[in-house]
Amino acid sequence: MSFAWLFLAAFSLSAVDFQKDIQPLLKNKCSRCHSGHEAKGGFSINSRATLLDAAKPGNSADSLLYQLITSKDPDERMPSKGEPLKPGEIALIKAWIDEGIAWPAGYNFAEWRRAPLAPRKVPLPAGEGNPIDRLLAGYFAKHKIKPGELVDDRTFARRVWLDLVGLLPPVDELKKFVADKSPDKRAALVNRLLKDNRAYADHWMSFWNDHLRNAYFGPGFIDNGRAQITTWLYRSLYTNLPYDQFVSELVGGKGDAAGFVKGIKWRGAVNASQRREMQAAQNVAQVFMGTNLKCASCHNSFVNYWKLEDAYSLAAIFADNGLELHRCDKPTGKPAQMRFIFPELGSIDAKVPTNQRLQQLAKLITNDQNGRLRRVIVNRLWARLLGRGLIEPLDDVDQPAWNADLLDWLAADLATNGHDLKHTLHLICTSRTYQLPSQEAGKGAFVFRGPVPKRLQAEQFVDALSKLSGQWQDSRAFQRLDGRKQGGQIGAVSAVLGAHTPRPKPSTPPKAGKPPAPAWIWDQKNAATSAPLETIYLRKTFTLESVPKTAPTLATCDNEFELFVNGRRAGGSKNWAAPAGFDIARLLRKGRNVIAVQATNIAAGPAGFILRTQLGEQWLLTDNTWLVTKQKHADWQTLAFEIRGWKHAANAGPAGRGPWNLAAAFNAPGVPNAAITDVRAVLSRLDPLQLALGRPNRDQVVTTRDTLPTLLQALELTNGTTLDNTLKTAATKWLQAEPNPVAMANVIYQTALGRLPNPAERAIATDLLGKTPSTESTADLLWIIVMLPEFQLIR
Amino acid sequence: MNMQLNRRQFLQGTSAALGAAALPSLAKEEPKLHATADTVILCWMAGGMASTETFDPKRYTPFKKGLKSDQVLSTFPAIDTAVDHIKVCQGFEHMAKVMDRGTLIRTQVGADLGHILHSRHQYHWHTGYEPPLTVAAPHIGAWIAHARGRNHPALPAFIDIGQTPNGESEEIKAFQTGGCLGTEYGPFTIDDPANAIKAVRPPAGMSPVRFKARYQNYLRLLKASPDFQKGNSAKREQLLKSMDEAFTLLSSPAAKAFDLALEPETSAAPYGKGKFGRGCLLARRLTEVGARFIEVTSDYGPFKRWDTHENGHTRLAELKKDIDQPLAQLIRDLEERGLLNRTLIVLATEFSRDMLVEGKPDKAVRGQVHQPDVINELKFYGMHRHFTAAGSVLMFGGGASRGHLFGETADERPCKTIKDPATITDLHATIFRAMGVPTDYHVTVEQRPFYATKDGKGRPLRGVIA
Repeated sequence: MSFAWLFLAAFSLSAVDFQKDIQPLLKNKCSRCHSGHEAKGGFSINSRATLLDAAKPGNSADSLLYQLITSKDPDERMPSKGEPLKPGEIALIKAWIDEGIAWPAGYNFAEWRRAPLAPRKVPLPAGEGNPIDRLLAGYFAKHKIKPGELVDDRTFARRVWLDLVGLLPPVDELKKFVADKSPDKRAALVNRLLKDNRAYADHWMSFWNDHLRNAYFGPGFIDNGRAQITTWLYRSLYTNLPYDQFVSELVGGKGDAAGFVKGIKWRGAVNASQRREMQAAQNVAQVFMGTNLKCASCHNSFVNYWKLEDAYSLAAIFADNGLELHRCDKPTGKPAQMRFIFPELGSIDAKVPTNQRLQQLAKLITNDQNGRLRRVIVNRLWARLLGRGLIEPLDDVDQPAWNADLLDWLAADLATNGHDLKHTLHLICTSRTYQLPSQEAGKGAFVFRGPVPKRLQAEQFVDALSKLSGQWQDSRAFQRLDGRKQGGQIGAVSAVLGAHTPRPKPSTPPKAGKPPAPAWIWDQKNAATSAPLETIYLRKTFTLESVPKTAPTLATCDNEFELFVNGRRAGGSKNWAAPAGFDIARLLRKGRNVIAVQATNIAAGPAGFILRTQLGEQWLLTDNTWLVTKQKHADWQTLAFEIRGWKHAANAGPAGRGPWNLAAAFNAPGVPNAAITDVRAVLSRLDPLQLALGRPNRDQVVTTRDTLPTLLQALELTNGTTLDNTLKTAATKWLQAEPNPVAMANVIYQTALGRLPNPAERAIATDLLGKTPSTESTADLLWIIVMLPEFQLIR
Repeated sequence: MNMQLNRRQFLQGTSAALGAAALPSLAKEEPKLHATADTVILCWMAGGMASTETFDPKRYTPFKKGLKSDQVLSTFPAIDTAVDHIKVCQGFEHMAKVMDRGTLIRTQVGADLGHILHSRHQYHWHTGYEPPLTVAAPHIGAWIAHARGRNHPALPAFIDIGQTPNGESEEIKAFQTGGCLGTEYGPFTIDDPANAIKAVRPPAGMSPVRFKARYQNYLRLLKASPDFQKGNSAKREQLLKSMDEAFTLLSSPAAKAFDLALEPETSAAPYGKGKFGRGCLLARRLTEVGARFIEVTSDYGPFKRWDTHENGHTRLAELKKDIDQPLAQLIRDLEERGLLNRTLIVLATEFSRDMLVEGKPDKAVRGQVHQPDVINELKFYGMHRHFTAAGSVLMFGGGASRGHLFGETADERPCKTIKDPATITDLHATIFRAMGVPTDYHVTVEQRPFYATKDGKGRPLRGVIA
């Protein structure tokens, strides 16, 4: 130790001034490696609390900070870069530590920005039109942007269909829309899409599965350490649960929403920062409050203002038996206090049981004064629709918005409109701002000039393929939970749909609610006792004066059946004991219709098929008016098929006949688990194609997907089996529907891209299809179309 | 006491320490480290390979009825190797002859995850992080792909060979991903090396002529589209680049490396017909054309292969036949082709096994395999419990010290590490060292740094990389 600085130290008895002496010193000498996001060696001077990791108030000799700045070893001495501290500077630090490390309250070297919590009233600028446009008029003027022409009808329709319901616009609807001359047709389309509860729920389910990490399969289920919220989530989206209630139910953790708060209980020992209560705290903070508590669940954060105590105070609310603070996985002996991270919203009564505390927490979070809750969600919706948030990153709403007035106004507007997310979506989609031509974000500071183009997400891409191929996900899969309570997602969604599908009123006043009972049929009378191993084909034609809105159908077969309506598959089942329920209304047409059934008895023994469909005021039942044959004819399931040589089916007994005894099912009105066809990708299990396209496994919360194209994706798209098979199926369908190459190219372009090919494109496409297109050439054209940037991007 | 940091911890993460330690070349001032390898081949013995039955022989006790379990440490006798002070177990006669080409590490120490679980220990070994985490941790191959890029312009940087997809796949797949680095760096997976060519050739039933025509027509239709004619678009360019790369790979001569049918019979024969051996052969062929990171797994399945819950001795005798000659041949072939110097071959497993001790020697763990005190049946003769206190790892080529032995384990039960423990973090640091990737290499995730080795603090094992 040098005599000189000991001497100096002795003279600095008067209190060291943090602002004058210490702050500039730390700022100049330490902050580059030890403040803000930098924390070399795990040390940060951001706040007094983080500095105390290496300094002991009143004891400089025992403080690592002091030891290192005075070290004789040049490899150890701090600062490691540049000149060592001068003796006078060292003396100041020593004195400051020995005096107890004075620190102005709230001072932080990182200078974390902290956004206000409360909602802010933003007056709407005078004028007419959509509030978003009015709010942004000043922004555009300031940036010298002249909002150009709006996009054309086709671009708008494709954008809004994909953004709101995740599907390509159907050709006929698109035609009608373009032809429509009414001035408010765009708003009408937005309305119509938002009213399609099922399509809306199917689409936004992916978004929320990511945010709430709701997985159908995955780690944790094995020990009952995890629970799906599939039924709750689908129901909430389908019924458009107000957002405050949505959050309240998730945080409250009751009933079939409990899985979110429950988190994932991993087998074995787990780092304290990953205990379930802490997961709940992290996820509530990230998803609903737009702030990162992950760092602070282990130690005082280096990336924001949260401290270990804050993370534990929120986690403790979820804990049945209190929590002890652990710093970097080591117990500290300090019990966690129960407190929400924004205590100004109210307090939590630590004495009441957990479930009551969660109700209190839900109330705090959804409190009117929590402007953040609303800002976070409108920012997420904005980002999903416009390709980039008003604030980025979406999970850190302390960052400044590029237009705070718009963000705050949208947030307040959501609250005053019953927390109806569809209201906000409607508002955005009907703004001129949303309808501007898309603009890719350039380099440098972001300036909004129009929506940023988005890439189709995995589910949108797969659903678009389904539109092209007519083949959706297998509706028979994932009907029930497995032994670990995994899967069952399609069954869960069917049940929600069944419960919310309005039942058609029976024609004549209901006779005690009892529909007429169908009979078991087969190709011979005593099939209920014995039939050979065989497949039979059944048909029934009928005429409709109008197409009913719903046509709930209940059917089953011993052993399995596939049912087609006017040539298209409508349902099927391999389990005779549980009659399958589905709705065939969308396949029906005015005039003549045909139901065709392929029924198989997989082993010698009893065989039978039974069906009941409600068609508005009529009932369609299996009976001996159905026709049957054992021979499979080409196109036997289509209406155009000319029937020859079929015989009448045999009545094999009433619904209640043994060995089946299904009278109860077929006498009860309605259809259990009604109506699910056209199952979308969101309900499928993660497959290599979707994985490559960025659908996440849901071990962690994902609020933004990586949508960059990669070599691995391109390989999967170029030679992957899933896509290849889909395209072959689609090609077969197109060949049947339209063998003429020019017409086929036209329809494929219209279906996939929402437009006709230009002459050059038509020439190339028809040339590659050949004079008589083959499955191969058709599949190649389809592949080319779905690989086009125009197909994969939402512009 | 508020102080949470100690001197060592603090210094470990700073440039001062790295400058001071035995690794001057790791100093932060030098962003590019001198790499001793350009390719890594990780041979993964999935399921838990017992070290006392493989590369760390202890007292041998032959089978006889009435044998006491607590007497048995190794069920195979030790054999000599090309290195005087290194012995391995019987069954590794081919490997014994090449032990002078690499380093044997005997002291891999696993994490204490409370309850021995293959999925979590495998996740830990492959990512360097103990799950669960709030971040999707990348596989070490993804880190290397990220840091070093491709080694051949057409080949994906990270190729993962031999894992059969199965019902547990989502848990297993959690570490077989690019994690937070994104799918760009994730593995190109080849389930079965015998069919590897399928992964890089046009879809089944499509001729090369049609495949080429399809791509050319794609470009024609692309250029004819109004979208393309409107002008430049970065998003479109990214898409087109990826498509171009896929087409290039599928029509590249490099794709031939995936076709094992092209390997002459004489040079293919030593690799045998087993899946792992074929994987080694594929790895060799890919290394020749320019791979960056290859994992060849022995294929994990619960209770399968190295996951020996019974008949350990009998099954290991068979398992060794699957790996001994192929692995030795891989080393020899690469050496012969002048590639061994720049290719680091690592053989590793999630943990070792013991007949009696489950997990750490001093911890009681639930869910142990039944082992009788007295062995009367051959099926109980073997290492059936999961042991994390010492395991063997091999490193050949790519700068690994030759004929080197790292670490020491006890000669009596529990045969735990007694000198130079090798944590997973430091094993990773050693591999990163060879590949010239700083151990505090990181990306920013959710505004915080996420490091290639845990907290950026991995330290290469002393003396392993020459």
